[in-house]
Amino acid sequence: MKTTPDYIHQLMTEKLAAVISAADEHYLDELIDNDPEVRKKWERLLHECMPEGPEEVLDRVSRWPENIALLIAGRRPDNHHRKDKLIRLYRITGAAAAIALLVLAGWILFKGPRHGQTSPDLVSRPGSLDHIQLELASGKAVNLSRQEGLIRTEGIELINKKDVLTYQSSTSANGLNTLTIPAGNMYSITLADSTQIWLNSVTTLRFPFKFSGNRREISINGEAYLKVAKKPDMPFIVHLPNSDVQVTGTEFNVNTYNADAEQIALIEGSVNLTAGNTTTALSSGKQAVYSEHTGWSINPFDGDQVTGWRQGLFYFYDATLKDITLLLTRWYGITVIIDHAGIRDRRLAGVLDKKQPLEVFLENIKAVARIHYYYTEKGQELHFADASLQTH
Amino acid sequence: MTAPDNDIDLLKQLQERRPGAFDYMYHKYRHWLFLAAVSFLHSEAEAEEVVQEFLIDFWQKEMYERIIAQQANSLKNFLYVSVRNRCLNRLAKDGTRNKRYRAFLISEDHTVMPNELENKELRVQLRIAISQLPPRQAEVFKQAYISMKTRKEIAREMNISEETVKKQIALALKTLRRLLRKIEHL
Repeated sequence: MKTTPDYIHQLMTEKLAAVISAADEHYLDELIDNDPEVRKKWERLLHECMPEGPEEVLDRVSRWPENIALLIAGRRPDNHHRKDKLIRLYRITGAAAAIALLVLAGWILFKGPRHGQTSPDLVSRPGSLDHIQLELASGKAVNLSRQEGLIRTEGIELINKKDVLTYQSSTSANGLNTLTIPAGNMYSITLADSTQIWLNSVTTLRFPFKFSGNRREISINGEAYLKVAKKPDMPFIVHLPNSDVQVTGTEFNVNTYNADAEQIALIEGSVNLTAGNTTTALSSGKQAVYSEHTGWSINPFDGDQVTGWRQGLFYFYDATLKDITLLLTRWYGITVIIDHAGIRDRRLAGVLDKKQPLEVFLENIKAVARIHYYYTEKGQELHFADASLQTH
Repeated sequence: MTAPDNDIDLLKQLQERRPGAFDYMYHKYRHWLFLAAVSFLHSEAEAEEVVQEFLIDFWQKEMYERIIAQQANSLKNFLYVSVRNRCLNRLAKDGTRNKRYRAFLISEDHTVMPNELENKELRVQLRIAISQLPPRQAEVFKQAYISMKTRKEIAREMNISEETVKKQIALALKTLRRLLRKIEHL
């Protein structure tokens, strides 16, 4: 490497941005220590260029679009892609962890009839919301994906750190706020009464900053794990789209992704469930499923299967490719397309691990279920195709 | 996508058009390129424009195809030089700011101590010398000088502190200098 003045300048910017290799940093540190000319330039760069410190400058970058697709969409408004079509294949946080999934266990295959149609069988797209949003009772929206740390608004102090929201409210405002988690994200919140709620992707929570009266009431649509603070004199009620869960203090998981099968799984304590005019009690280790057609059914459940999502694990037994497709859109915020109807109902079992590379999971599906995959739109859309049809 | 281990991997993934590779690079280096652009332009708004336009071009015009993955530094050097050139093109139209940028550089006639381990012939001898280092020193040294990782990355991977990384590098260099001097004298 040539040692030009400009190369030294490059190394200085690398050091400020903490991307310098340990080797180059050793070299630069020695220069700064021993060469007064270099030290002078280094100090000048620090003081004149970024008097507020590099953090100030870098903070601005954290507000840039999350990925190249959104960057292009933002800068070229005439681009023919609609924003909600532009999804991120990989959510990269911090050191840019790779994402993904892994099929471990076996599978059962029901081979459907062959079709060679050209239009896709099923297209699963993420919604247009691309950030975690808190809509206050007043209608004001706060972007929690963009604003980290302390946020002051309308007499509320929100603290948004590492995907956890806590707050302090000086006002007695008890209007309902709406917290929306889009596809590809997970988030958690601690309410005023110390109740903790973990929210899975594509989930909406409605809650007041302060609980008043003799009941604590919130609404959830999607999937959440709740650790409700014990307050025997102030019951806690979770409204789901079709049923209500009433507790005093306990841990449980709710899942309403399938509108006709609301699931409440109780880890600890006991809860009362109400839907329409029917009320039923649930004891720990049991899961209740409510369907408007068949009412309540109560069964034991597998703890890993129900709460694994909190560790980025999704266990599935006897799931169809369609179920997997919807899950991928929900968890990764990606568009997934099933090309051929014949493979939609192929059944799979295994576990998806968000910490493993996506390709590992896709290769496994390919190997065990003869389902081929490929990307279009520069890697932005994932397709599943019947491997035996060989269209790709 | 498996997270690339170093920039040679990353460049390979870019050239193979692996989904996610670009976004990985975008998150790894966008703040650095922005900071570098600010150091030239003294304007955050302009720096943002230059860097974002460059990144879009890098992606859409497949500029990564032009980079030869010789060393772990090749990608970083390409990114920096591209952004710098775009900044200088802007400054060329503005004499005052150009002068201010020049003031940031060390003057052309000032000779700085060269990075002695950049010499190519030395690399072969270096390989032999590294094999004589204590295992941990050798590992830290290889991660720093061959994989070109940051102190932080090495510390995390080897489960040691950044300060230890810094010290191990200094120790390794000291030993290597001694060993290489011996080799030269043979």
